[in-house]
Amino acid sequence: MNKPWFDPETGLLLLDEYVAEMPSFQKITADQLVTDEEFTEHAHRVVNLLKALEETFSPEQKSLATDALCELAVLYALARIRTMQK
Amino acid sequence: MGMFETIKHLPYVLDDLTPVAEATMNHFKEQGFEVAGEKTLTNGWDLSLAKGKWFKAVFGLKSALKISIEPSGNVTIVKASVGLFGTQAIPTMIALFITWPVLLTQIWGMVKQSKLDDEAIDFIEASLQAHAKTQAGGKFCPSCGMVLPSTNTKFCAGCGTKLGG
Repeated sequence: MNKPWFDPETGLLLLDEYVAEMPSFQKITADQLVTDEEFTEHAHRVVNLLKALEETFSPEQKSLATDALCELAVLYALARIRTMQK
Repeated sequence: MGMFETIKHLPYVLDDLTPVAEATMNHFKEQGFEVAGEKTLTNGWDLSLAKGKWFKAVFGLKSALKISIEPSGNVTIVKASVGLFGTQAIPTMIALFITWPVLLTQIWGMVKQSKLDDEAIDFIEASLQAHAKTQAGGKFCPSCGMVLPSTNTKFCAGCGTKLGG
């Protein structure tokens, strides 16, 4: 599976569309409730995926992926802080 | 002005903003936009404009340029921002999504590049001015269009223009 991250025509990020198709997301939106078990299970899934990624990457790819993940997290934090400022 | 919104305070007041909202929706419908609008609880209007692939679906919900037209004292406040088609508020789940800040920035960038926000606000200003003139029976400033409290007003409170009396 080689899904593009960005729409080639508009340049808009497409990740949200893939998220919407994820069984884990559909399950959450179906009942609007997140149990402790669901949360813990999903956190483990993320950790396992990150570990698998880390083993796959070359040093250069790992550096780039680390930057991308961290900068995305920084942007998210900035957005949350801006919301709280309002 | 906020980072992802364009706001303009316009010196016009109408008892009913429906004709302005309808004219704006028709203006963009004629240009091939998908449009929707609903009256707010505060006698304003909330409009949604979307066209083509700019306003992509976010979690299956169509994004849109949102135009809010709200009366506020002796002005009407017009605000353009990015939101979801046909809804007045962005659901928490979308606002909390990790890539929402990226999408918001990208979509707003396209709006600003095409000056769609400016076009909408300019059209609403012209429409407000035209309807305010009708409603005020000609008592308006010939320079800025502000509705005047009486025909004896010497100067416009909006722009300071000396009036003929």
